[in-house]
Amino acid sequence: MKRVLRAGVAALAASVVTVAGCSSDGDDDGGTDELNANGDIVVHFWHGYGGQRLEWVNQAVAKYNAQAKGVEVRAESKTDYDKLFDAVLLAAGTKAAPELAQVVVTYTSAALKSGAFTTISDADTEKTIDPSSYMDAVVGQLTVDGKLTSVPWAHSGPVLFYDKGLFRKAGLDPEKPPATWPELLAACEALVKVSKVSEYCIGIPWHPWFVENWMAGQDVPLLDHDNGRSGDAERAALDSEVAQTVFQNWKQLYDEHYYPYSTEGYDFPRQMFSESKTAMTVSSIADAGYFQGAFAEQKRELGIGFFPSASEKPAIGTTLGGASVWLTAGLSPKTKQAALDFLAWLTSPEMAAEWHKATGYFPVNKKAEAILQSEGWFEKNPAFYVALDQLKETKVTPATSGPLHSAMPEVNDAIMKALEQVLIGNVPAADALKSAQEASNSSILRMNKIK
Amino acid sequence: MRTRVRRSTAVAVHVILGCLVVVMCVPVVFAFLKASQNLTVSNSPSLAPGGELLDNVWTVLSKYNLARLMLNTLVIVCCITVGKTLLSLLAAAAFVYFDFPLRGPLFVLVLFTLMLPTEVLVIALYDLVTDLGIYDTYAALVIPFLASATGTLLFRQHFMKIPRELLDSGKVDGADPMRILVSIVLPLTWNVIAALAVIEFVYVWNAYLWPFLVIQESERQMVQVGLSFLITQQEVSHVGVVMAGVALSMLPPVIVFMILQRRFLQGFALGSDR
Amino acid sequence: MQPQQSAARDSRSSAVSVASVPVAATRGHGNGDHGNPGRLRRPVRRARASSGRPGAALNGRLLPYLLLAPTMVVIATFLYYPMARTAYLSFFDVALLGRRLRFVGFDNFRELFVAENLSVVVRTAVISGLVVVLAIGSALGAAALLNMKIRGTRIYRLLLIWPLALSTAVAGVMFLMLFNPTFGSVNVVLRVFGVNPQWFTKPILAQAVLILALVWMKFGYNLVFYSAAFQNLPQEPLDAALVDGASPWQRFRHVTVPLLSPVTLFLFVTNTSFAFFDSFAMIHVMTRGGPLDSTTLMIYDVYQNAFQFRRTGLAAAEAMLMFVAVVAIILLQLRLTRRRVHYGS
Repeated sequence: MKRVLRAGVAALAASVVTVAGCSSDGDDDGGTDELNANGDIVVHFWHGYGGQRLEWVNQAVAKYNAQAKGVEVRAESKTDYDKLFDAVLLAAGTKAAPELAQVVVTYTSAALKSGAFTTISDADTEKTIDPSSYMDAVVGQLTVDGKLTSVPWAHSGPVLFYDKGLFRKAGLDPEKPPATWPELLAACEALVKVSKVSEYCIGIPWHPWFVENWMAGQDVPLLDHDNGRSGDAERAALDSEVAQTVFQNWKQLYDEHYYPYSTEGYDFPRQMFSESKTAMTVSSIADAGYFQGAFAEQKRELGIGFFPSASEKPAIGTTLGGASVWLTAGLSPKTKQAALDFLAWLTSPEMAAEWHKATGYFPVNKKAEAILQSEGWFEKNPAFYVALDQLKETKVTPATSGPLHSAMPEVNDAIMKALEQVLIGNVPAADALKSAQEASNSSILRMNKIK
Repeated sequence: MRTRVRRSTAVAVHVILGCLVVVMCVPVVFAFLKASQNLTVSNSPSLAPGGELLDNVWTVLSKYNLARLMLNTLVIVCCITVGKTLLSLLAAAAFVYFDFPLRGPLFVLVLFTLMLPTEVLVIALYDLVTDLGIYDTYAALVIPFLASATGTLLFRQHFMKIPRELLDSGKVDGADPMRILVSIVLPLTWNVIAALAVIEFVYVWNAYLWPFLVIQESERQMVQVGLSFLITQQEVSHVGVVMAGVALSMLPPVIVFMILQRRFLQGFALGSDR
Repeated sequence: MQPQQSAARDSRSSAVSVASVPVAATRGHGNGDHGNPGRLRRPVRRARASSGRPGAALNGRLLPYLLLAPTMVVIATFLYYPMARTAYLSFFDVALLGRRLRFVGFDNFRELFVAENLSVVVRTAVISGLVVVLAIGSALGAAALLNMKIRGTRIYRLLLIWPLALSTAVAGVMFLMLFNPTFGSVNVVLRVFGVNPQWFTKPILAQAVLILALVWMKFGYNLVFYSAAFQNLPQEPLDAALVDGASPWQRFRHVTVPLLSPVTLFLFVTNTSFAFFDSFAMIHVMTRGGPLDSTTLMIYDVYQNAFQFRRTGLAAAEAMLMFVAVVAIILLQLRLTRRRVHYGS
């Protein structure tokens, strides 16, 4: 027995040393071109969409492939932004890695630190991408240390969607959606309790972006050091009063049965609102296209308003959401250029305008907005302009610039875990947030140690 | 030898054993009763048997895809059993019937793997299958488990009991080693193979942690994990359907066990050799 | 995959204990040197007529390596390499799904013994301990009862051991429903006595259900081994005790139980492995580790740390800790078994 043990331990020790020696955490080999049957360069493009947006992407990619020479773009959906990010990290450095991948704005810093991507500034030697052609607000968020990290594409702001018809029935002014929290509660009372026109009042997607925005609206950044922008953040602000208010608000909606609870991201509230089970829903402006289509079919009137603030004070603004497109690291020059060409086309004025019309995402290309204005699009569809309006009216502060730190994936997880405990675990908001705060801080500090 | 007892003691013993049997069987009786009830009744405390058993079974097989999952699991079971038996048999043959320089060290290496439980390894195993590009595939469910120290030991023990003369007679006939293994050793080994197969069937059918981690696509999932997803999907929607799923998931291994008890216990006994 | 590992664990120490339990308990292993595999290196030239330790029974220089190759490749790739990698990772802070590693020495291990992590370790030790003791104790008692000359022992046994064919997931679902405060039969009965315990919302109750379910599952397995052991008990010591005027209970305590100690020790190891590792499915299905982490045992914590909190390094350290614990228990069992047998029963 002893002999077995000794030999086994020796074997194990030997293998640990070998593993240590051969371990490469992030080395990517210089890329080779992947070619398809025709000898075209294949560019894999991973995005996080399903349903209608997936359709649009597939059609766009087909359109590009039809007219592009020597390139074939293959789009693949990874269901949502979080799964997408994990998938890219896991695939990085292996043959399964894509050439292009969306990364949600909040994970900008994490993407940089992972070493799985190259910045556009570094990669774009031919100047295929022109940063000045895109919306300043977006470029500003995507620029770190003077470098443009990724190409703006699918960006949005949070808005309040509501059913004008139900508002009318409940005696509320359909042109004046609630903008502050007390107004929201009053509207809910009217809709659900008094006139009972709706089973629930408001849906909220299960996502930390809304917590971030409620805090930003009160000018409280999620992280210190100016939301991580004037230096490495060291702590989160989850123990702040505003954070508590946000959580307590959400709980109040839950307790009053105004809000149907689900942890299914965006799908559930989207469905509830389009099936008229909620009279309102907060969501990304990118759902405008979908809701407009659904409402038109059902002959209902869609209203879009600013994202309501978490207190009686009106919000100072909102943070940017959505995902830009990144170039993965280790690509060969030819493949890299092919990928950049596709990106330039995807974010060209015409395509950006089309993307906006189909979804509601900001027209990220400045010229796209001009095209839309000249077409009179915004006159016919004023609701689509709401998020842009909201963005333009946003007071630019660290809070509304959004958090910048490589620990954001973990901070987000901590926030939602705490929220779940508060809603269905009957844990007081202060306690849950304290745990989330501790977890977030230790994640932040740990990431800081990794240079 | 069994102890003789007085009448009164015998009665007491029967009572105790009877209670134990009740405790051991209550959960499954409960499951089957609930599986036969319709929506309202099954969500209530009532234990009255309903007539919905076939309906619930059908729902869980088709709507919740358990049929597909059971099929997947069956395929995996076969692959692993065949593969593991083959590899263990060959390895044991090598250790027992041949003499070669590294025999000792290699045997030790195989033996030591008894101390490397999969659960401890899942983190690194997960990364490994991702790097190998077999994440979310049947390959990831099968290949890591094709080697087995247990199997090798079982066959080794068995081979060591086979009298040498049988092999010698084969050599006299001028047969090469593989022929001898196949025509002389193998026919004597079916019992052990059967015992191993029975144990593997039950164990692979009941797998949870690894398939849970490595399979993403619900169509490819294994039955126990699929069953657990059924609960979260259903929440407290339809207890009857969930219990029908439970009944279906447990039947194959329990039936195999009941029918092939002897083989099963033989496998255990071979393993413990007491 | 826990199945193969159960098989491995079941036979792990059994195979090893076979290796070290000599003489009376085993059938002849040739030289009577306890079948220590290390000794195989010396090919035995004398082959006994009936069974023997074969030397080079067959010819082939390359063939044995070919036969062994698949096994060696699989265990090197899928057992040794991940084990080494886990050990390696346990000394690092792993960020961004393995993209960045920062060497932290023993910090991960230190962190395991601090605050809430320590409570996971303690909780695992206590709950596993309870499960092992209860599962083995109850099976021992039942085996003793079944060993009495009464009718129907075969049927009793069958009805008592069948859960060993179940998966912990299935058992978990059954217990989850059985103990459901609204429609579960347990509370139906308890309501008669005026109580309606909320089994899955009160920590201590959830732990009780977990322990009960685990014991319920392993009882049958233990009973199989004890039953077999009872049938193989040597008669003389018992007869001697009878002659000495010992009561049945005294005979049981002082003769039977010590005679069974090798089996007991073996079951101790396999039950501990079961409680450590196979409990994952049950925890995940019944409580997800809750309420308030009260049913989070180390194996579940490893999963959460690695796959939910992205603390891969910490999870690896925790896995290593479990590994070391199991190895220690196996070694302890071997030492005790050897001593027991050497000094007689």
